[in-house]
Amino acid sequence: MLRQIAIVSGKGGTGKTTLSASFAYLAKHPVMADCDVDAPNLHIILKPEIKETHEYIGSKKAALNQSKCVKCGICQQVCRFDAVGFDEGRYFIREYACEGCNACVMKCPAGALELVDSLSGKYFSSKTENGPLIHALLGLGEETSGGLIAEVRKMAVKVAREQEIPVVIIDGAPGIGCPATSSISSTSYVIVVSEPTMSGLHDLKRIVQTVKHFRIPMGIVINKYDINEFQTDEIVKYCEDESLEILGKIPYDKMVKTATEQAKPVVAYDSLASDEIRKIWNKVENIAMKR
Amino acid sequence: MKVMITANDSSIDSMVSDRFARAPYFIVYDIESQKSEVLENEFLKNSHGVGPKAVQIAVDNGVAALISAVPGGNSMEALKKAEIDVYDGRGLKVSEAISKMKSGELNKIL
Repeated sequence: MLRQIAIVSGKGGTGKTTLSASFAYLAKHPVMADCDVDAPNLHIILKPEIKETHEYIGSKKAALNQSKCVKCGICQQVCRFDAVGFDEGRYFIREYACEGCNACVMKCPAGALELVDSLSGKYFSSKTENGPLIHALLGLGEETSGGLIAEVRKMAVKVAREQEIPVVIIDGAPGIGCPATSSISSTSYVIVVSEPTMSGLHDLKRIVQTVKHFRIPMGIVINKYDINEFQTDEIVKYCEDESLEILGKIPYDKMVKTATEQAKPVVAYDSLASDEIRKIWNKVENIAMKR
Repeated sequence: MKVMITANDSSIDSMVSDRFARAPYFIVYDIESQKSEVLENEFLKNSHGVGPKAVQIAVDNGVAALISAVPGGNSMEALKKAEIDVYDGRGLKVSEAISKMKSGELNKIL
């Protein structure tokens, strides 16, 4: 049975991608899925060779046919998003402002406007040294999109089935909204990465509620736990109150910085952080892979 | 009573979809007549706001229950208002999910 394991955090910058990149090495040829489509980074460490590129049409936008336009300006009056401009005697659509609401299309007396498919991003099926990587890039100014993440996850499952790979590891999107929920829905197990700061605990609570909503088992990792042991204790207390398992506490370790600078996974080096990440992965394998 | 099941494919032998509103197909199954109707999900690739649209499909088809992966927060709100029961169908075939619901073995989440 295929297992899908997602790494999320609520707060950004707690170490999701650092952990994911190490798991890519420890899991022995998994399918990796980078679901942070706004600002993907996993490819920097995994160095993929792109095999397929797919276009993601996530929205529609207004397009103006100049030869039919009677220059009445009604489109500009009805647009709530200030997406219709006028310059040098012609009306034009500001693509970044258009929400595709259809108001101008409905009101245009000349039939000069229509909604057309708009390219919202691209996603890629790639090959790395450690197995397949599915990743994506959301277009500039596009709304954060659970839809594109859904395409990445579908592709990851397809590749896993084709190549008979038993595990998909998902580097999740930050936050608790649409991209984050799209990263975790129907996964087998969720790893929540926290850090001992006030915002770390605050956002941990929010993502835990989100994962609970989806009824998925989860475990917590406290990254850089020793930079603030008071806050780490607060996180531990919270986890006890909520009956959440703590999978491990990764120490602050200069080797992580070295690994990041070299664009290598932390587990490529011997260090305290590396040892703890290995222990965490063994636990995850025992819990999630045998469930 | 009609039940809507989210499905990966158009047959009742396919798996219940991993996603609610982004499921490729919705199968509306009538428990009394045992007939099913397959609807293609036209909102599949929309970038956002698909949850409530999928709930609207359920309402328009007069279903009393939904079998699906756990829907997101917005969908759950709409399903609650529409008084549609929700059952967790993760990991099951559509046909298995229907028979488990009939025998009361399926986990009800709303």
